[in-house]
Amino acid sequence: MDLLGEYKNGNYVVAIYEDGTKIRYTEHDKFIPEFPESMDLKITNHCDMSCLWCHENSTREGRHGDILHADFINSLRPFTEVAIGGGNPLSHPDLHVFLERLKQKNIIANMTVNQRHFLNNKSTLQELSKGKLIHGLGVSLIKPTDELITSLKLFPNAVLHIINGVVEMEDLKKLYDHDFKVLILGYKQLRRGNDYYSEKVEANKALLANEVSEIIGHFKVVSFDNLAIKQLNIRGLMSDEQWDEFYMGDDGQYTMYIDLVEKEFASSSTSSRRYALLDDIVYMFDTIKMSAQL
Amino acid sequence: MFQIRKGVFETNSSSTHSITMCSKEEFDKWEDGELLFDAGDDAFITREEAIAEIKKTHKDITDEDIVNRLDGGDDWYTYSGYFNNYDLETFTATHVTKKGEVVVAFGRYGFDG
Repeated sequence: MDLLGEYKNGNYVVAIYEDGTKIRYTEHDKFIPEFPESMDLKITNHCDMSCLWCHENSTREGRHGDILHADFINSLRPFTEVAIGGGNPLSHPDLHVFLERLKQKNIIANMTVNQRHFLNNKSTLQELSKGKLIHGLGVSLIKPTDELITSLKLFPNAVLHIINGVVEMEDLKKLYDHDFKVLILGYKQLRRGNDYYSEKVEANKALLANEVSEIIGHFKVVSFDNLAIKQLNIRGLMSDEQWDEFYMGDDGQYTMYIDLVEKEFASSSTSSRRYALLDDIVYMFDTIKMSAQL
Repeated sequence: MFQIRKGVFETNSSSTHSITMCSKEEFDKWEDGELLFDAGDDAFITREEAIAEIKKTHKDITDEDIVNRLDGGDDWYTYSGYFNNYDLETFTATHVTKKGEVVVAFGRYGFDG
């Protein structure tokens, strides 16, 4: 496994490898970061998909963020990760220039796109991956198809994003045993996600919760966001020792959210407490840490 | 403390620091003197490979000088040379993967200041 990069953050060391594996190490009894290891970065609210459950309310009329004049980018530390999303990030006219800037600064850019945008832009995404302009590629599942399965195999660092409550077990089973990586996201009852919420969503959530330990054996990697960890009671599946070793932290502990469309930052995309964008990532992260103590 | 995120991306310091992962087998061979660690390439090399490397660039070198170079830590690190560095803190941590593979993470780092 080749090392992509390493850095010291507060009282600990972080190493990131080519397949995305990340290791933290400290000789102290807890990790105390000075800056976020990763951040979700919303660069646009433009999207032509109109997904019924979209908690970002992205539309065809959605605005793009001014990503070429976001000064805080200059304060990001090498080898920290930026998870770029939207809206449809591929629709942003300055995306390529922005990714080049991040690469020049040794920032690890990852990006998430919808399944349809993934399939319609495969060659562009392959170029971005080949040029190391993006590393991880999230693909939000709509429906498992043969084309999706074949295409995903072209991207070793692709991660299928599925939403607890939206995905149906029979669809998930079609993706079994292809060595795929999967990220299970919690259902966000926000904006359109609130309108879409129904008994069927709850039924799907219950089915997934029942099957989650079975699912793990059918994918190369199964990871969860913090909301899914709560909704699926993942803590209950692990021993204390495993939990301490694999749980990567609460929202805002090592991560944060930045919305370049609204020029705001917060602990996560679901936080109602938001702050006006600042020029320095450390100041923003300090604000997140302080607000967590209130 | 040691935490690991396996196999997925999430979709600095001025001080010296490093961390490396290898199999337990490689780590043990290093400890036993069969392997040397190339910190520049973050990889292990056998003594024979190291000798061949030295001879490529130093055609007239004596066997005694080769041994001195190998054990001197200028090009590659022996296990003791790596860990007995008084300027830097060192660590090792062992992790067992789901498939039962034992992985050792090791490294060293300096303090700010």
